[in-house]
Amino acid sequence: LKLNLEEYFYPTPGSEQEKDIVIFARRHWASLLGQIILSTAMLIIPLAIVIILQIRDTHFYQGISRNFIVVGASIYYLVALTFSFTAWISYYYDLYIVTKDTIIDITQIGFFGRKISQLSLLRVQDVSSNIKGILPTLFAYGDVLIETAGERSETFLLEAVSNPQEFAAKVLELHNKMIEGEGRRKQLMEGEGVMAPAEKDFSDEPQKEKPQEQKTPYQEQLQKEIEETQKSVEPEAKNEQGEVSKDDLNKGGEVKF
Amino acid sequence: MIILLIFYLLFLFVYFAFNVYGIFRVSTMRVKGDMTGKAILFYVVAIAAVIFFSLILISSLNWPTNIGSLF
Repeated sequence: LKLNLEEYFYPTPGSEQEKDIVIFARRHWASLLGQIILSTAMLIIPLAIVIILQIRDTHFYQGISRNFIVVGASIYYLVALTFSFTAWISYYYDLYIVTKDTIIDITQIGFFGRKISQLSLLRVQDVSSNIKGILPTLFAYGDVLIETAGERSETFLLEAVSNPQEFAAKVLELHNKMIEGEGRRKQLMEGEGVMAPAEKDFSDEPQKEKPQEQKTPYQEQLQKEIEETQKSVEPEAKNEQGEVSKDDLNKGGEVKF
Repeated sequence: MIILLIFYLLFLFVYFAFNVYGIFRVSTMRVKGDMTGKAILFYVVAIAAVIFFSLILISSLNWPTNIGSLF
């Protein structure tokens, strides 16, 4: 057992895949302020009550009631400590890892709850940042909302990220760099339905066979998505070339070239 | 009143088991250069301090008294 997040096979600082990390971020500390205030109140308020009762000389700490007070206070403080530590763990292990090709969102819930979501940068379609409220504006943190491409569009919400505009811009930049690197911008647009797939060339000239390229897993995944999209679009694409029908306009103005 | 003491000791046993396993899980999530080591140390010292002072106070109290004498 590796005593590291490596046990989940993610690139983390100190792991072999460290070089792939572009952004390694935690939730902004200011998002923990409410929890800090609550934990401090839980520790201070009982003490304050005891001091006030002692000053008013209510004789509450007498006889057998002392036994209950001591045991009760001990249990209360132990539970309050665990509550505070759990809140800190939940904050500290909420991680956002952006690598060259993937976004990983790890949400920690106490000691034993963990939700891990991954998103391929190829599927990113739209990235927006949202800073709302006094504290987020003051400390420059907010939410980043990532929308995915494809028929089943999903949203990916990263909460309380430091400098969300910068984060969003970096994600979009990595996405663009990745699809440019793969040379797949046109195919991706076809897959998203922005551009209709190109017609086959039936000229008499014999076509030279292109050498078989070694496909990466991302290329294969993308190809599969494009093929599925094409299958679903095909029966409706009955318009003549260059004509834009009302139905097509409703779908985002798909035009056949 | 001894039953209250037994209840407290049982609580401590469950509390220890919960925390030992919890800290073990946390230690498996560690990342190079994180603050988890110091946080766990602080947490354990705080727990030890609470239990230490509780046991000192508990040892100074009168426990053989019958709970019925309260009423």
